[in-house]
Amino acid sequence: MIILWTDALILLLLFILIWMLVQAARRPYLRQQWQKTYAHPTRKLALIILLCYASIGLLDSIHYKQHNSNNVVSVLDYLLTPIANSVETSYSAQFAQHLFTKQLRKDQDGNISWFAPKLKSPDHVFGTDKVGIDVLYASIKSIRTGLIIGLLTTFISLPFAIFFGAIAGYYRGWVDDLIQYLYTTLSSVPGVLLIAAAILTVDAVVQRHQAIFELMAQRTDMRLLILCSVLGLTSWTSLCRILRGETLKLREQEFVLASKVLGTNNLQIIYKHIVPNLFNIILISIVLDFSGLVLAEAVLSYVGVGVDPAMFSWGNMINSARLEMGREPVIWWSLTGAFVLMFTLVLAANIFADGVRDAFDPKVV
Amino acid sequence: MLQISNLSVNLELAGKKITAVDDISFVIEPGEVVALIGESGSGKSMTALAIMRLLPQIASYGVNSQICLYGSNIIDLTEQQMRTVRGGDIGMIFQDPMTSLNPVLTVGTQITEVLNLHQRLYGRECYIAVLRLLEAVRIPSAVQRFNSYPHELSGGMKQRVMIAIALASKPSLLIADEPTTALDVTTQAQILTLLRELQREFNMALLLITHDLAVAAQMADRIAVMQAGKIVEQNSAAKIFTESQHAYTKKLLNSLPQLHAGLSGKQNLPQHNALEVKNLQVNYPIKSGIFRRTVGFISAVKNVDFSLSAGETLAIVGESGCGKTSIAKAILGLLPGVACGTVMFKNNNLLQLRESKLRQLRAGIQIVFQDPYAALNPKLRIFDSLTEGLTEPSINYIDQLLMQVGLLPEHKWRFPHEFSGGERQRLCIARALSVKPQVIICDEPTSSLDVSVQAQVLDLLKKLQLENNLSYIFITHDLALVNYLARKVAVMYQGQIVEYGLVTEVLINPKHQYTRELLSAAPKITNYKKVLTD
Repeated sequence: MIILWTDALILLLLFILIWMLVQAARRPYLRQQWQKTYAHPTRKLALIILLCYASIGLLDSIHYKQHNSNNVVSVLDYLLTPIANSVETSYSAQFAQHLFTKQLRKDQDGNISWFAPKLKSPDHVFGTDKVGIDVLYASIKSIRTGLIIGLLTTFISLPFAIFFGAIAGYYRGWVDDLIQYLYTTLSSVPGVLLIAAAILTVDAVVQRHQAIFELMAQRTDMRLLILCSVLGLTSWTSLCRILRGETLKLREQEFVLASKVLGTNNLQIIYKHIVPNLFNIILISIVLDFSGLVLAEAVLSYVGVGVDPAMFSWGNMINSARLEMGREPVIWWSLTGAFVLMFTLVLAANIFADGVRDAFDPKVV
Repeated sequence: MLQISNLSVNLELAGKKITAVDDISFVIEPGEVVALIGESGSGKSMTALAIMRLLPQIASYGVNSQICLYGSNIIDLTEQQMRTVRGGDIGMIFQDPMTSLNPVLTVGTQITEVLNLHQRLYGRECYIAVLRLLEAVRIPSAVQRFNSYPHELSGGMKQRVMIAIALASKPSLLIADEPTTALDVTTQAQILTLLRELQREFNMALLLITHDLAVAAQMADRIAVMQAGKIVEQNSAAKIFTESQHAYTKKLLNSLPQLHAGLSGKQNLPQHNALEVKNLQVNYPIKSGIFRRTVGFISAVKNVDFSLSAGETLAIVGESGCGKTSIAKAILGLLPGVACGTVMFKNNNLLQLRESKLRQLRAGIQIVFQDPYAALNPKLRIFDSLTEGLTEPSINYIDQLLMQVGLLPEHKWRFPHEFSGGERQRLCIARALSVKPQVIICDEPTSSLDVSVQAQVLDLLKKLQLENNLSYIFITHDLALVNYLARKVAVMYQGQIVEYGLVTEVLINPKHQYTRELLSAAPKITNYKKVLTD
């Protein structure tokens, strides 16, 4: 059993989620709201889809060292052994019997002819990619990467956005100025540049300390973690700006004044009156950012500073699809695989977020 | 001229059908002023929008509805024909002059637009017509005002410009939807006089929509009373006020606080001082530059003195911007560094206390705000809102509190949006009471409520005062309320108290010019009362 950094963080997130669910279940009215929301059939479906993704991501986060080899594999790999191991030599279309690319063959008479070799196993739902890996398998393995980038980044950036946004809007004055200068500066530095710098630095560090990162998996994992952190640290600014504006509006609301008059202290007011009323905005932007981040990963892979090329990710898949789309005849299935899984996830997350917002918005009953 | 028969308007909300206007019929003759009165949600504004064919998308006309303007049914007109009616035969002015003018266009441009469209006037001719209109609505130095932007004008001025725009097409009917609700009493009086004069001058018919019976009494020839989408009574104004037939009309009339009704009900006798304000000043700093240096001050409150005995009510009267709310905030300690002077409460000067000490004393002075919709956190259950100031919240105590303000114990698990405006105001009062204060500042607590609800809330305040020996500082612009509730009154004008004394003296024998102006500007229905007593 090997626990990678991101595995640990995913477990932490899981515990937080379970704790929140327990808290929600304890309060009768919250439970009521949630039950009402999930009576809705599409939302129920969205939740089921999300749970499927989450469980795949979790199974993929339990790593162990393979028997007498240095390969680190996950429980998911073990479960998917049949398709993981049916590696062809190159591209093949879905459910094809033969390879997509033809090879030259010299028969006994010395005649040269083109032929497409037979596949080892003719049951690739989405076909195979350039190096013969099943596209469905690659897409499923990418789920963990997508979830980590979406979730970890959000959870790194969220505390900054909420804390700074609420503080700046509520206290105003020099606190506001300071925070505004901070995020204006941060958002004026091109994000890609920062990320590239961070990734290259980490690469160098990893190279130098081979002893700590002895396994390949540890190296790719560290790169993913750094990518998330840098994305997180640079992406809180836009949400922070919106939250600050909203807080400026909220702090003048009479219920905030009334609370002040009752003798509530400032931090309590922020916690009790400001943040709950920011929740709608936070939730909407989390979901929108989530899809944005999964896409950002693709862009970064294109520049060469994304996740490790050896790691399965939708970004890497989309990146390689660039050349495949230019071929004649077109190889479209490897893009389709990434697209279908990513699309389903983002759509389900959007519908789910609608439900969550309604559950927390007392006005929609 | 305009004949409305069997008009119904149906709204469709989330699959549910609601009848907003229910089979109403009335007639407006040329040159006549008809007032449509009723409480919020009674369908007054919906009727006005129906006449203009400006109903929201979710609304539809009933089957037999007819709105005949000079004999042709408006409902059957095409949208193109309708455009010549709107702003042509029928002009309209709205409640809030702040939002009905386009902030990026000058006043002149906005009037010119209408003249181009409906009168086909251009160039010099048009310019002169605009100036004439501005003069007609009594805007001084019209030539300069032509190039003013809306933000350079006061509320009353803006409403005048709105009237000028409505008049630009020489309409035969002017619909005024609560034209003075957003304005001060004295401005209101001016605008009402102006409307009345213009209506005679241009020989227009005027459909006045208002919730204010006194305004209707002052303006209308005929009055129609609406309740829940129906017209329950319509008659000439004199008859409505003297021999009203319908129970609802009577209820409305009775719930109106009277300016000269004299002190009503029991009152606490004056006791020891609960609060003493001396030499209070509020100066808002003007800051500019990168380092936000203070370059000057706006003086909102200047040298204000008053005292408040336990169990007594002091009313602070004045127009918007006169510093009433600044006084309230200063007393509550919400303006640290901005307010100076002394506010003595329990032998402490609230303005010079440290934050921690102030927090302990805060429970003693509470506030009830004007807008009950903004005053409760929409995300918190009533129970959570009410227990905010308590260290040991107990369900029993909250139940008692809710019953004290006339609500039910089971209401505590609801969210604010499940309550009506009046109920919310009760909740706000309950929240203020929860920490057992000695003084409650009521900042226009009833100005966003309907007349009948207003009466209930005022009675509740009175009852609570007697039960708990509370002192109130009652901030209002409505002199009639002062008389109903307060023992002492302070009249404020431009940040200063210009007159201060017992209500009975100040209202009957006002010394200051401004008080007299306020008193005469307040619309009354006393003329009709006389008829009644004669």
